[in-house]
Amino acid sequence: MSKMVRDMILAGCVALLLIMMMPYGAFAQQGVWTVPQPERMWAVTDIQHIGPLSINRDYSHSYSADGIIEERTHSFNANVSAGNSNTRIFDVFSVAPTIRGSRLFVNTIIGYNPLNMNTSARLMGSESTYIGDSYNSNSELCAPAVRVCGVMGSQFDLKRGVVHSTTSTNTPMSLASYDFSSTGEGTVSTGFTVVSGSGDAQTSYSQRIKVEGEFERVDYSASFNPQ
Amino acid sequence: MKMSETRKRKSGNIVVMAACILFIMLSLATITQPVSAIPPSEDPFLIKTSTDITCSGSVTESVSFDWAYTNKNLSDNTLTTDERVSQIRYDERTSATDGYIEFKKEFTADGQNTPNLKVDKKIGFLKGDAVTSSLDSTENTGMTIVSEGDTGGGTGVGALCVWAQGACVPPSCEIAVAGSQLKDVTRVNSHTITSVQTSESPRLHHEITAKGAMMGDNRTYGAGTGTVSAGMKVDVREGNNCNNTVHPLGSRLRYSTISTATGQWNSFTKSMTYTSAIPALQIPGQYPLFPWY
Repeated sequence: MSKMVRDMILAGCVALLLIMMMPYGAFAQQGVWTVPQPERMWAVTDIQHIGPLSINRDYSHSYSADGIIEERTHSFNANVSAGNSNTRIFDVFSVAPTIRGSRLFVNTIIGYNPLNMNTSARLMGSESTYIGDSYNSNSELCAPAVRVCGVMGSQFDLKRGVVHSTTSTNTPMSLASYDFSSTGEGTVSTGFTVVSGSGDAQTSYSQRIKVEGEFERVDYSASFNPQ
Repeated sequence: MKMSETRKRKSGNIVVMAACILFIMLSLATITQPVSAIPPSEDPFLIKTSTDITCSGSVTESVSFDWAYTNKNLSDNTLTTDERVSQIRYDERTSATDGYIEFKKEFTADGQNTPNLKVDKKIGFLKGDAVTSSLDSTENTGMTIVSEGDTGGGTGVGALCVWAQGACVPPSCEIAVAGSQLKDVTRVNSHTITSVQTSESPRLHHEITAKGAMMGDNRTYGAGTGTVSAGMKVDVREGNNCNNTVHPLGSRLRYSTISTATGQWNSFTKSMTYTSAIPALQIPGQYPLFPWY
């Protein structure tokens, strides 16, 4: 085999190796998410427990590509302090990639029932989700440059009762919704804040709710849709 | 040969017919497509919240909403030729301490459809045993429209109206605010309705109905107790020409009202509405017929 042929084979191998090392996204067409998307992930938690309990979750991602910047931060924690209490937690957390961005979905139900009401044991916790989206203008879609930031969440400190929350966010539409409901005795707080702006408009909305005492019903639902 | 020619002709006819049908369908689709006018903001949005609370204890709730938009550039902080700037605000704060509370509220803010703001709030409160037990609730809404006037005509079918073409709409400033307040209230069944729109036929409306509440095990009626107030302020200025450099004041309208009841009240009702009489382009705003205002 001549040296020239050997060199050509070697060059071909090197080129093939370089092609294999290139990210698949580099070959993606215009208008398609061209960098690694949020990974598809989900977690389902189902706990029935008597006694102290602690659950924590922190999640965040930040992506930018194709004229869109997407940020998501989510945190959740729940603690049952020492005592003889019956706790049931059912929790679903999922992140799925969409054409340009991701869809985040969280659904959490906690039931808390101390076996002895004279105990000082409590269920305490909080949940918070942050969304931050920025779109460059798109003349083909006649869409202006838009920025959206929003925070939604709740806090609870219960002697007994149930809390249930559902969070859903979606890019590129920035559709965000949050539902919170509770019944029982103690203190719950919830709310939703969103700020959006484009070249010719600015919108802000903020709501805070705090309920203390013995409550038969706290139902709260909020949604933001840039249409 | 003839058979194959006939087949070819038939298949050709089918292709032509299919093409015709496709063309007609595409044409129809184009004709029936709605004009994509989203006046005047390019950032339409929809915010909806729903709150429903029944509690023996304390409830605090606060809401703040602010929407500002223009048909030009909001960031340049100047009023350019033919520019119109609009702002809708809504703030509410409720604090109910140590009592029995029923609280229901529906909030909708819509950047595309009217009314742009709609709030329906109901509060029921009965004082508890604590000396400090009481309800405070304040609701404010406001609408501001600043217009440099209009000389360039508009868009859409309405703008074809011969009286609208090249119409002179002088510059104007419209400020309308309304609200209501419950203070140191120990017994009430209250209902407020708020609606504001600026993207079509500008209008601001706020009403309150506050009554007593059923109380005790035998559900006897007790009069409302505490202080209830409701009011509105309007300030409108309008120029008298379309000159872009000189703006002589053509008219000024001012209106202010406040009603307050302290003590025991069986019924307190106040309804307040401001509807803009400044036409955008001399086109009367009659559509839609319903809801009837």
